Amino acid sequence: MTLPTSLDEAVAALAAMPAAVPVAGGTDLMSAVNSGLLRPAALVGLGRISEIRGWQYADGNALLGACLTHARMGRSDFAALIPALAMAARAAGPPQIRNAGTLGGNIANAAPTGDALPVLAALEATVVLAGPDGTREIPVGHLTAGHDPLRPGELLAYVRAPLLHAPQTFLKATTRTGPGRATASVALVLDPARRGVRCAIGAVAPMPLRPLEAERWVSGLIDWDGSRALEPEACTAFGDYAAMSCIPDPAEGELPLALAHLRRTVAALARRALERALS
Amino acid sequence: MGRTAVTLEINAQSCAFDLDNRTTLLDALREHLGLTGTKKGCDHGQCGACTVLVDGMRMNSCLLLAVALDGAQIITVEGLSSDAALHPVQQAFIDHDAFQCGYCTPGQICSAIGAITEAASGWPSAVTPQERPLGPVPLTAPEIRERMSGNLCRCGAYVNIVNAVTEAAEAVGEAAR
Ligand SMILES: Cc1cc2nc3c(=O)[nH]c(=O)nc-3n(C[C@H](O)[C@H](O)[C@H](O)COP(=O)(O)OP(=O)(O)OC[C@H]3O[C@@H](n4cnc5c(N)ncnc54)[C@H](O)[C@@H]3O)c2cc1C
Ligand code: FES
Ligand code: FES
Repeated sequence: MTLPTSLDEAVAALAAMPAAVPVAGGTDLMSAVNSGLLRPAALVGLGRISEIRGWQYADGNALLGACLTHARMGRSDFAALIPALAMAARAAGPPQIRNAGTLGGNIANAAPTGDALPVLAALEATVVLAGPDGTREIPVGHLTAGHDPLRPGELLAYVRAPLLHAPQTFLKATTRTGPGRATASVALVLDPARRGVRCAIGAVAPMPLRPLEAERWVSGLIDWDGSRALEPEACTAFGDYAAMSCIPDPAEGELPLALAHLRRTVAALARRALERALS
Repeated sequence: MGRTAVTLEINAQSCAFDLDNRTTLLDALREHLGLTGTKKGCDHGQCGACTVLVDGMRMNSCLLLAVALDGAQIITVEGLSSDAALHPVQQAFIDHDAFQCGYCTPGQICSAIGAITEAASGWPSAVTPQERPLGPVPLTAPEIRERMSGNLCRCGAYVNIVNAVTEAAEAVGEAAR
C-alpha cells in the first residue's frame, strides 16, 4: 500500500507496480474485495493527493479534481457552479457512502447506475488523464465506454466541465425511498450561449444516452432571448420524444411491459426536468 | 500482498498496528482491538451498522482500508461518552426507546452524530429545497429520514429513531449555543 501526496508520485507508483490498483474512496472497490471478487496485489491510495480534492477555474470551465467526494460536490458553493452535478451527488447513495465516494471513482467504475455519468454526458465534459508520458484529455464517454481505456500507469486526474450559468436539473427514479440505485435518471442542462438544451438519460442502458433529436427539436422551440417558457404540451412531447429515442418500439410485436413502464418513467423524468429548468 | 505499520488515533488513544494491507477498519477495530461495539451487518456498505466517525465524518468502516487511514482520528460508539455522562444522542436513543435488539444502534448513533454535524454546517441533502437561505439546515422529520437512510434497522425502530434524532439535534444545538 502506498499513499502518495502528489499526482506525479501516484503515477510513478502505479508505473513502478503495474499490478497495483488505485483506490480513492473505496466504496466500489472494497465492496468487490469484501465479496471476494477482487484481490488486488497492491494498492495506491489516492486520498492524500490534495491537488485533486478540490476544483479550480480555467477559461470558463471548472477543472474538478478526481477525488472530490459526492458530499463535497453536494454543498451549496459547488451547487452554484454546476447545479446538476450537485443534485446527482446528493442522491448518489447514502450519506456515509457519499462522504467517501468520489467523482473519479464514479467515472472509472463506469456502472450504468453511476449518477454523475448522465450529468457529465449532458455537460459534454472531458477527463484529463495523467500518465507516465504526460497528460491527455478525452471525452468522458470515450473512457466509460471503453473506447479509450486507461493506459498502464494512468490516473484520472481532473474532469473539465463547462460553467453554463443557467438552470440545470438531475432527477432520479429508484425502487426505494431514500437514496437507492437509479432505475432511470435524467440530467438536463441549458446552454444559452449555444442556444441548446442538452439532456442525458442514465441507468436504462450500459451508458448514458443522449436524445439528440429531441434536444434539437426543443431547443428550436425556446425563445432564448425572451422568457424561455414553453407550453406544458411541449414539455410533455419532449419527455415522450426523449423516452422513445432511448427505449424505441421493437421492430416487431409489442414492447415488453417492464420496458414500457421504464419508458413512461423516463418520459416523466425528462418532462419534469425540462419544466424545472425552464421555470 | 504485504503488511503495513499504521498508527490510528482511536477514541483519543494512539494505537499502532501492523496490518495486512487488505484489513478493513471494521476488522481492525473488532478483531485486532476487541472494540466490538461497531457491528458488521453486511460488509458491503448497505446497512450502516459499521458506521464510525473518521476525522469527524461518518463513514462505513467495512469499506475503509485501515492502512490508508494512517494518522486519522477515529471515534467509535465506545468513545462517545465522557466519564459517566452519555453523549446526548445516546441518551436520546434510550429516552425514546429507539431500538429493540440494538444491533444497528451503534451505527445509528454514530451516523446521527454525523448527520447533526452536517446539517449544522449547512450541508444540503437530497430533500433540502434548492432555494433556501445559507446556514444550518433545520432537521425536520423528512430531513432526518433522508439523512439517516444509510442505516437500516431490521427491528423497524425507525419511528423512534427519528424522534430520538430530533431531540438530540435540539440538545446538541442548545449545548453549542
Ligand atoms: C451502498 C452503496 C450505495 C451506492 N449508491 C450509489 C448511487 O446511488 N449512485 C452512484 O452513482 N453510485 C453509488 N455507489 C457506488 C460508489 O459509491 C460510487 O461509484 C463512487 O463514486 C465510487 O467512488 P470511490 O472513490 O469510492 O471509488 P473506489 O472504490 O475507490 O474506486 C472505484 C474504481 O475506480 C478506480 N479509480 C478510482 N479513482 C480513480 C482515479 N482517480 N483514476 C483511476 N482510477 C480510479 C479504482 O481503481 C476502482 O477500480 C454506491 C456504493 C455503495 C457501496
Ligand atoms: S457492515 Fe458496513 S455497511 Fe453493513
Ligand atoms: S434495533 Fe434491531 S436492528 Fe435496529
